[in-house]
Amino acid sequence: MTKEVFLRELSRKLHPLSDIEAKQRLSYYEELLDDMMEDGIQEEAAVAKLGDVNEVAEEILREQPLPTLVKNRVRPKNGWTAAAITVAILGAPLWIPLLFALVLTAGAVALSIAAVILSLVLCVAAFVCAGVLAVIRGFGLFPVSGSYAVFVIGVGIVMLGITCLASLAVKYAAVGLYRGGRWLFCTAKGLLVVKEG
Amino acid sequence: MNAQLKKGLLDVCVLSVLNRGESYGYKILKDLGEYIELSESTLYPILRRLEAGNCVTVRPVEHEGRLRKMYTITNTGKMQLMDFLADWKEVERIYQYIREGVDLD
Repeated sequence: MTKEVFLRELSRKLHPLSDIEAKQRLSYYEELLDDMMEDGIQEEAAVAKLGDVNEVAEEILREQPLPTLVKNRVRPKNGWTAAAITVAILGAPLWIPLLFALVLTAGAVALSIAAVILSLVLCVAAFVCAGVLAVIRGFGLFPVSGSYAVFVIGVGIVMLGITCLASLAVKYAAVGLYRGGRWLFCTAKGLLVVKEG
Repeated sequence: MNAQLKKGLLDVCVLSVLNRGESYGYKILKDLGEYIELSESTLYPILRRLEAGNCVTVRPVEHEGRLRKMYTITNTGKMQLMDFLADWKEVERIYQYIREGVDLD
């Protein structure tokens, strides 16, 4: 593949980017290719060094923020023709609620994950409070009944022990949930990057 | 090298090349090539990030009838290099600790 073909192909695939952004990317690759060729590398070999043009474009698009990708996905291939605008307006009662539902679902999933993590943390915090209070209260009970006081202190210490184990489990659960959430988000984002042969 | 570890190193590597003198995309890749694997597509976002963080400045220079972007390190960039060297002392201590743990096995 020649430099011209590579840059033309890349430019075609980078249409989701703004004109300025796409131009800067293309001039970066053009400069690299020129420098490689000046360094004595053959044109075809220099282009091959950059890798497959589809993969280069895909990698660039993956770096883009989500709204840019969504905008690209819904933008008709040949720009907004009159027919496309009509369909979009007529279809509004359908796609607006769908889009709304999609955004809300994504928000709800993120919120539920956060809520589960928060409730786990609060659970551990509650155990710490209960344990500490039981130990303190236990010492106060000695004048009333020695055996009862020892029992209450014992319960408090058991609770603190459970907390130590639980906090470890909660840490791993929270990290797992966070990673799961991120994976879901990245997978959803990956679906929006148009793959070409 | 571990991908996470490498990611943190790449910005500093690029800064280090520029600390030796003004440079441009292809030369940065060539200079770093023997030390760390860095692809053409990976360098671009690094340069953009460094530029956005005021660690480098960029100016177009005419070369053989075309424009070439020359990157220069700024004082902020130099400070980032210093910070990295200071952080590395801590990394060395951690490395020593990990090493001792392995040697115990």
